[in-house]
Order: sequence, then C-alpha cells, then structure tokens
Amino acid sequence: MNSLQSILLTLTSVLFVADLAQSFFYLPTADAREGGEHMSHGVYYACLCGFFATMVFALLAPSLPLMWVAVELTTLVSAPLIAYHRGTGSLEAMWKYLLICSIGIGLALFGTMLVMHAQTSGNATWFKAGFVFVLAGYGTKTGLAPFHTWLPDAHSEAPAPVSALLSGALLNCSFFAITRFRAVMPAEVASFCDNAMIALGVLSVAFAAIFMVRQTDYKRLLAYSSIEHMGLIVMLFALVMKLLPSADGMLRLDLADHSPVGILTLALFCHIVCHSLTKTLLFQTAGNLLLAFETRAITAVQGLGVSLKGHALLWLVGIVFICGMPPSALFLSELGLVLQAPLWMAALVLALLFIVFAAMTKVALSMTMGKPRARPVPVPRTLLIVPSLLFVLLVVSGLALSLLTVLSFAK
Amino acid sequence: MNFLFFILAVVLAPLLPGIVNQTKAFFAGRRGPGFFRLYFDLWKLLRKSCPRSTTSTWLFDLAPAISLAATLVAGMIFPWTLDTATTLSGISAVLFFYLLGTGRFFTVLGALDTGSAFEGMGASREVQFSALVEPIVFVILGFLVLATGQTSLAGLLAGYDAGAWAHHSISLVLAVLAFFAVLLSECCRVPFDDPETHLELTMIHEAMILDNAGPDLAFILYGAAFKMMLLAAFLVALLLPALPLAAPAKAALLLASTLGVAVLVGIVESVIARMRFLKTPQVLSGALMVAILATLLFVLF
Amino acid sequence: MTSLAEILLALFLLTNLILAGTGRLPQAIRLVAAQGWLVGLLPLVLWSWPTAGTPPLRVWLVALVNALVKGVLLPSLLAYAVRKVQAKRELEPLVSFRLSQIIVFALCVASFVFGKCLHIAEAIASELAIPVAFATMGTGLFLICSRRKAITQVLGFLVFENGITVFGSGILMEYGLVVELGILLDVFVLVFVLGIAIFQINRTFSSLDTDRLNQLGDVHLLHPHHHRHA
Repeated sequence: MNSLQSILLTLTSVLFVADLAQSFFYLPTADAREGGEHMSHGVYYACLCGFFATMVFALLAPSLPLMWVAVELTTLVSAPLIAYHRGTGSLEAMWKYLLICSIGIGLALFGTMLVMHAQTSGNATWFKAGFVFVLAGYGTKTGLAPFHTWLPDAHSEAPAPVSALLSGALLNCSFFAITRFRAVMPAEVASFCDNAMIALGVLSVAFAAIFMVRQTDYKRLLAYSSIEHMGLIVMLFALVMKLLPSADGMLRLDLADHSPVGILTLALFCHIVCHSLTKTLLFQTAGNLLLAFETRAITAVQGLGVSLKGHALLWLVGIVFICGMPPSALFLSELGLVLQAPLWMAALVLALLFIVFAAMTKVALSMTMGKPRARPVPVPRTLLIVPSLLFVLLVVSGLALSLLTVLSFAK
Repeated sequence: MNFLFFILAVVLAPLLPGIVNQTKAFFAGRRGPGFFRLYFDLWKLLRKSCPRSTTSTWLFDLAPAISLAATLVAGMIFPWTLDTATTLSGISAVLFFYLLGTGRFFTVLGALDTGSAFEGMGASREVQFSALVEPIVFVILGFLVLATGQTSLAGLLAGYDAGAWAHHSISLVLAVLAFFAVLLSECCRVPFDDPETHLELTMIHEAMILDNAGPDLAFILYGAAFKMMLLAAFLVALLLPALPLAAPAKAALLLASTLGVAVLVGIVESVIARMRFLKTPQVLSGALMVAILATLLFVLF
Repeated sequence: MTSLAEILLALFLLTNLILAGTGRLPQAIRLVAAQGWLVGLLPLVLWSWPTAGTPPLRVWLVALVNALVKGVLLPSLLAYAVRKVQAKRELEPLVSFRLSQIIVFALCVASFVFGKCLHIAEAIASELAIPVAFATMGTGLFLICSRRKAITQVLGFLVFENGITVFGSGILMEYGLVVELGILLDVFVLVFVLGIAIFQINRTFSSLDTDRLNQLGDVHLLHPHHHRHA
C-alpha cells in the first residue's frame, strides 16, 4: 500500500463518519422543510454505506480492471442518493450524473483495455492512447473540465451530506484511479501523460474561475470550487511525476525530504486532505443555510453574522480557508505549486486563483455581512456539531502543518 | 448451350410468382392459387382481344411489346452456364442492366401516354425507385469488377475462385444483402410495393398498367416474371464461387436456385409488412450504404 | 481469416445502420438484443479452435452470461419499461433518421479507414474487430447525443458498451472471470438504476423527453443579460 492510498483511505473513512453523523441531524429537518416525497431513510443509509464500501473497494482494488468495476459501482450506488428529494431538479441531476459518468467510465474501460494490451506488447502508442482515454474517463468522474458538466448539477441538487461526500471522497477516488494508471506508464510516454494532465488541470481551474465570477447559487459555487481544486491536485500530481527520479512511480511522503519532489509531494498530500475536509465543512454549512433560508440563491442570504452567528463563522472561515489563506494548509500547497511550476504556468495559475479568491470572498462577505434581509427559519443546533468538529480539526491541522514545515525548513 | 438454358428459363419464369404466392399461402394457412396459376392466366389473356383507348397513341400500343423484348434480350445475353468461354464473353455487364432499364422506360412511357392521373402517379413512383436502385446496382458492379478484375457480364459472375470467395465472404454477404433489396424493389415486392394491393393510391407497378388488357397485359405480366427470374439468377450467381462442375450442371443449379430465391421472397413477404411510401428511400439508401461498405471492406481488408 | 467471425462483425454494422434509422422503440430494443447475442457469441467464434482446442469453462460461462444479460435480461427490462410508460416511438429526434443513418455510415467508413491506418499487427483476432468496435462505440455515443427519449439514450449506452466489449474480444483481452462478471454486473445495475430513473422521470414530468431535463446548468451565466428560462 503506498502513501497516497493509505491517506485516501483514512480521509474517506473520516469523511464518511462525519457525513453519516451529519445525515442523522440533517435528514429529519430537511424532510420537514422540503415536504414532498423523499427516499426512505433505510434506503438512504444503505446507499450511503454502499457508497463508502465501493469507494474503499476502488482504493484497495488489486488490479486495474477490478478498480474499474469498483469505480463504476460508486456511480451506481451514489446516484439514488442525489435524487433523495424527488424533485424535477434532483431527477435531472441524477440522470445527467448517471449518463455522463457512465459514458466517461466506459471510455475509461476502453483505456484500461488499451493499457493492458500495451503492457503485454510494450507499444508506446497504445500506452499513449490508453492514457488519453483513461484521463478522459476517470477525469469525467474527477470533475476535470471539459468533462465536468455533471458535477455542479449533482452537487447542488444532492442533500448536503451527500454533496460533501461526493466532493470530498468520490472525486479523490477517481483521481486515485488516474494516479494508478500514471504509475504503470513507461518512461518514454511519461512527459506526454504529465503534459496532458497539466493541460486538463489548467483548463479546470480556468473553467471554474469563469463560472464562479457571476455565480448566483452558493452550492454551485462550492461545486465549481471542487472543480478548481481537482484541477490543482492533478497539476500538482503531474509536477511531482515530472520530477520523480525513480521509475516505479510511487509517491512517498517524507517530511525530511527538502528536494523539490519532497516539497511537491507534501504539497499534494496537504492539498488533498485539506481540500476534502474544508469542502465537507462548507457543504455541510451550505446545507444548513439551505434549511434556514430555503433557497440556494446567494442574494437571498444576507446578514448571517447577525441572524445565525455560528453558521456565519463556519461559512466565512471555510471560504477563506478554501481560497488558500493561511493558516489553511492549502496556502502551503498552492505556494509549493506556484514555486515549482514553470513560470508561465505559475503566472496563469496565480491569476486564476486570484479571480477565484475575489469571486468567493465577495460571496462570503455579502452573505455574512450587512443587515439580514429575510428572517431565517430556526434550525436545530445539533446541525452545528459536525461542522464545528471539522473546523477545529482543520485549524489545528493547518497550524500544526505550517509549524512543522517552517520548523523543518529552519533546520 | 447457353441458348438452351435461356429457353428453359423462359419456360420456367412464370413459375416464380406462383412459388412466391404459394409460399405466402402456406404461411397464411391458405391453399393458394397453385404454382401454375400464371401460365393459365397468360394463356387466358393471350386469347382475349386487345381494346385500346382512342386517346392514346402508338406509344401505348408498342410499349408492352418493346419492354418484353428488351427483357428477353437481357435474358439472352445472361451467362446461364456461368462460363467465361462462351460467345457472350465480350458483353459488358452495363448492357444487361441497360436493357432492363429500357424495358422499364417503355412501360413508364406507355403509362404516361394514357394521360390517366393514377398511371402518371405510378410512373413517377416507379422512376423514383429506379433512381434510388441504380446507384446500388452500379456500386455492386464496381465491387464485382474489383473482385474479379473483369468487366464482362460473364466474367463478373463466374470470375472469382473459391479461395477469393472465402477470403472476401463478408463483402459478398453484404453485397448480396444489398442486391436482395434491389431485387425486391425492382420486382415490386413487399416491403417496397405490394403486387396484391387493390387500392390505386397505394399501387406502384400495378397502377401503371391499369389500362392494359388482353395480350398487352400478358406481355407485361410475363415480362415482370422474367425480370424476376433474371435478377434472381444474378443474385445466385453473385453468391456462388467458380464451381468445378460441367456447364449444364452449373446452369441447372442456377435455375434451381432461382426457385429457392422465390421461396425466400415469399418468406420475406409473409414476415414483414409493406412499409410506408415515405420510408422507402431511407431503406434503399441504407442498402446503398451496405453496398458501399461491402466495396470498402473489399478494398481495405 | 475466420469467416464466421467476420460475418458476425458485419452484422454489427448492419444493426448499427438499422438502429440509426429506426424510430420504433420495440424494434430498436430487439436490435440491441440481437447485438447482445452477437457480443456473447463473439469470444467463442474468435477462439482459435484448431490450435487451442476446446475453450475452458470460463469462456463458455462468460459467453453464456453475456448473451443472457445483454440479449435477454436487459432488453426485456427495457421492453417492460416501454410498455409501462407507453412510449412507442422516438418522434422527433434532434437529428433526423435519414441524416442519422448517413452519419453512422460515415462513422463506419471513418473507423475502417482509421483501423486500416492503425497497422495493428500483434495479437488481434480479426482485422475487422477493431474498426467494428470503433464504429459501434461511435454509433452508441451518437445515439445518446441525438435522441430525446430517455429509453433511446439507454439503448445508445448499451450499444456503446457493446462496442467496448467487441474491442476487448477483438484484442483477445483476458481479464479473468471475476472482472468479466463484475463488468456485466455493473452494466446490469446501471440499466436497472436508469430504468428506475425512467419511471420517476415519466411520473414527475409526464414525459420521457430528456429535453425537459434542462433546468440546471450555467451556460446562461455567460450571456450578458441572463435570466433562467423555466
């Protein structure tokens, strides 16, 4: 088991527990607010547990085709969760999620075949073609632009704990699938694969930035933020692989390693963990806001700082963290990316990150500051428990990591 | 020798519609009109007088005879013995389809000459179908020219040996399928046209000959039967490789197989219904695509 | 050259062409079922009988399960859905049937030319398998994009999946039993879930046209004076 696998397993388990707990508090209130039909809670929890099980299966799958089976299963098990409330919007989101992800995954199966055939014949062209299909296929599920179209719909329509789990855990699992394929690529196609990943990464950040600027829906805003961060993660991974000296393609986390590879590997892992935790916090808070205001429109929510102090704090700090302000560990990882990337890429990424930062903080400030426009419906205090715990975890881990990094460099 | 089998084909031709009808009757659970119905019909029609409209011209009088003559000449140049070493070896395959086209052309002219609205409509549909069918025929001819390296009719139909036949069986199967669609359309069979329809608006071929009676009608009916014989023989010859048999045996096999094709047509007519007129061009263009695919497969693989 | 395999592969092309030109859902389902049987038969036909002897039990089992799931189970599931929601035909596809047929034909031609240019010499069962796989995958994707009815889109996905399976058989991919059955399980569950979604869509929208499913999306954000259409 390599470092990435163990970290993702831990992360997925933590997030699953967090979202399971949040579901207990969230669902009863949500059922009362939404009215209408909804899925029975038994099916919901069964699907949620199945979702977790298939993600673990995907992370632990012994072979590439078996991993394909597992990743496809994650789609199938999580699709019903999106249509928990049987509205028109959630059905549409579920249909798009199923169809787009299944086509993507179909392409990934095709890519898997090409790569496996290439492994027996050793033909570089087949490796290249295979990786392109794998990247497009699993990239669809990772939410990389231009294959991301299902993601904002699914994330905005699903109930909050499901959005959180989709964004925090599922995207990482399919990203992990890409890394496994990258590990079996021979040296002569390595730079092609890395460049392809960098191109998709930059494109994802760009797409996310464009669609975040005038976004009117705060859950969709978070969804685009996930696209942006998956783009950054893929870029970080490609940069690590470009610099990685050994041919085995294994990522090793070593805090004492101050070479560019060591720094970038640390940055990659920090980014994955911190993004997942922060995004879960944010989606859960967004779900709470949705219950309080019964709308996802950004303009309808104002003056949270007065009416819902606890949620306002979580929301503001979460958004600031996801934008990469210290003490969030995302600051360290994005700094690492910008320092190690080639100049054009660093400049481009910095500019795009600036746009994202402006768009997100504008939304966060307009929602938390000012006078409340509408009185929110009171929500139970139990909804704050899990996000608060995540918040504490984030601040502590962010501070600890920053401290650790500074100390290790000071030596 | 070839002429001998041509005479045999001429004699056997009216049997084909009979076989088709008997097959359909068998599937429908009826007794059917019998295999030799057309012989009796032709005999009856030939003894009748031949009333002709006073408003029509000599074109209408001559059309049935000319189209029958063209079809019969096409039959004469057909290599019934599937042998390249006959006197027919120099005759181009285009001439064969040209003669069949001439036959159709005069039937259409005769129909237009009556000035009847129904016959004009039937003529227009007949011409529309043939315009769609001809590209298919020529693509298949092109495929045969590529496969055999010859251009004469006898060379095309007898040219490829068993090895090449096995190697390109897939192209052949596709070409035969496309040509079967041609046969159904040209012989006015279901699903393109229904020879048993009794509504003038839905008729195609039958609508053109509403004004013909007596010997004229007999010529036309016999011409249609003989055309079916020719196309069925072409279909079988397309499918068969060069067999190590004596010429008479091959010709006998060919003629027997045409009867089999008639059974097949009867089965097709029993299984599927006639399709809407507007759907026909799509099916024929589909057959054209299949023919092109056959050629392409041959060229590429 | 294994002639029987080539003829099966040619039948794939024919079913693709007919599928592109038909609007009747029961007929389309029958065609997809026929493709399912072809997919099941293909590994057996491509098996090199003279040199490798009788195939092992695994190959027989996979062929049987493939044919049963793709040729019987899924089509009858879809036929049941068609009966229940009373959808008979695809009335107004986004691309007309005639044009669809021409496009699928062009896809076939393109994949032949492409497959010829690929120069795949090593370890393939039949020269035709890879072009046919490309053509079938393309047809499936095209059907998904050009049709409105949810059921036709599911059919398109099945065709796409068949194309991938043909490719696997064509390059003699050996996964092992577990993976083969896992892939089949995935396809089965997917169609099952899509089928349930079809029922819910039909009940909620009183229609199966997926162009009703266009409320979400962010393209309107790119227009200067945007307003969400209902």
